Amino acid sequence: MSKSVSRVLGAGLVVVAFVILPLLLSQNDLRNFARFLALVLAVLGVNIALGAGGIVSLGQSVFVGVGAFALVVFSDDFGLPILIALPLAALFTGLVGVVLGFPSLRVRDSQFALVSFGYAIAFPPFARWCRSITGGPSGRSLERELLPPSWLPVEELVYRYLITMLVILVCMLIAANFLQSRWGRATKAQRDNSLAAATFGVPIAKTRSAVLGLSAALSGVSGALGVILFPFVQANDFNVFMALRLYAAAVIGGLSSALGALWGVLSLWLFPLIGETIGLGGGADFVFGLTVLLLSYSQIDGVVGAIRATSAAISRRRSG
Amino acid sequence: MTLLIQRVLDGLFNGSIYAALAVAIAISHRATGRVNLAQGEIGLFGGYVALAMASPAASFVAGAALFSNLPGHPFNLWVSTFFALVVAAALAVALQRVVMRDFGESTPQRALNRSIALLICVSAVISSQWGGRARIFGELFPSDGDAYVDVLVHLFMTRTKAGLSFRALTDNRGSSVLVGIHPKRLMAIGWGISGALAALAASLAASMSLLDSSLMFRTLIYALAAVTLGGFDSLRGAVVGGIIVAQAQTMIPGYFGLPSEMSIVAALIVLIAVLVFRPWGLFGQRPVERV
Repeated sequence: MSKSVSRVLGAGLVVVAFVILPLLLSQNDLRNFARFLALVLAVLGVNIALGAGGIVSLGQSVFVGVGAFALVVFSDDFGLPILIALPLAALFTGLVGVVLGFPSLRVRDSQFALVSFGYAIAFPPFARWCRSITGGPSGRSLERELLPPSWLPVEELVYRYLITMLVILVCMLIAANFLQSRWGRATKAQRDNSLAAATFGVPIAKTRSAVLGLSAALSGVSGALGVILFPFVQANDFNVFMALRLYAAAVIGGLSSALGALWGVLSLWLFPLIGETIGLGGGADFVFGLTVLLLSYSQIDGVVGAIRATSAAISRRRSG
Repeated sequence: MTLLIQRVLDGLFNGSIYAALAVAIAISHRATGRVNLAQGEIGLFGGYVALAMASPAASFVAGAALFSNLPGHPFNLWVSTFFALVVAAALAVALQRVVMRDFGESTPQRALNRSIALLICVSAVISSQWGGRARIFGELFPSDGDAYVDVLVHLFMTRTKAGLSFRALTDNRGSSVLVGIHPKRLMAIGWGISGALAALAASLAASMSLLDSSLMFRTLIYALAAVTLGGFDSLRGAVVGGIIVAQAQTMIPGYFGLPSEMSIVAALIVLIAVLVFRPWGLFGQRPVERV
């Protein structure tokens, strides 16, 4: 795909998301769609950490959870408006990501996979224990509502939907720019050969921390948006199954480009449907597992890789 | 004092569970050089098979029709558990033959993806087959039983020809193939033993609490901490690690006034601390780098 074509396509998608969908869908559908699309940032977190940084993050559900609880605490307990609490929650989750990512500076990547898997398993009991922050096992609801300003003639839910879309768009742009920037190139350099990268002056520890921080912050935004759209949050939601699903979605979407997160989140929606259609019932996860398994035998980098390979084959055939 | 003794005994009880899973992970790590994250779920599958055989009203399993026609049904829990070990071993061997064939040879990333994919698949099969509700498993008396099994595994590895060949194979693949050792058959034996041990761990863990589909995730963290603490390749280390982790698990919440489920955080801290400060564990070999 040439650059101008993809740009037109991207602009078209933005128009559809911001103008056409709010006119077409009912408020409830809009909310469900937005809740679902917010997961794209969580998948993007895995995508950036693993794809660009080479750091296996099996515990991304933790950061989604931290972001969600941080938003509730900042807005309800500290009395901040939601639009201020949201970036603060992202910042806080980013810091948590840097702290929890510390072992990745010391141990091999395959071992950090175990550690991050441990985070995913230990988070729900830990969160239940922090009763005053998370409301214990019964969870907590967000009291403050995000209301549209008086000059904007839209419904509450439509306004929340628009804000969600805007935040997702901004976060995707931030991530894409990060990958293009000096830091992004340094990230990829240390992934491919950390010794060579260090020789060329890349600060390995700082780069890895920055990647993990960004990855966690993105996932935190995803969790926070989830609470804004549906004002109830519970520690058990962020369990190890969510972590595994996010990881699988990132791998299925493709890791070589941030767009892979978008395809990955599509698989989160599509696979349960496929699972139901072929009669697996609750076994939608089986489709995830099977796809990841098949991908691990091939050289194809998920959906992104498949699209790239197909378009390359087409253009080769055209040129003769 | 009684409380202390009670806690030590509890710890030994749990320790035998973690030791079984830790030894399973250590054996498959020896065979392939990689951690198989799906180990716990393979064992859990065995645990559910045991339950299906042991329960009289077995209508909730697809395979129960088969079991209920066998003479002697419902079976004694010991018989069912033994059968479950066989089933889990067969499952592990089948998985090794079909999907994990080059688990040890592929890149770390690919191998990790494969074991995660397997974990997701097996767990999906379990939850779609047996559902999310926790089930009562019944009483097994584990500490002794498991100690015997660990001794058996140790004797197998140090005294039998197959065990020695397995160790030779994992130590130096090229040379052992040259002296006539069959890697395929031994890999199957190694995976089979680790599958059976994982099923033992699952059955013991289920008899401690309840059998539910996320049981082995919790157990897996303790077992990973144990196997890391023991040094990844040492079977003895895995057993000792399991006991230490289990003692810490009962002591730390007991004496610091934390809820018992918080002990999982303690296990996580052990895991991280060992990986950061002493990656070769207590009994593992310190890697020597030649310059």
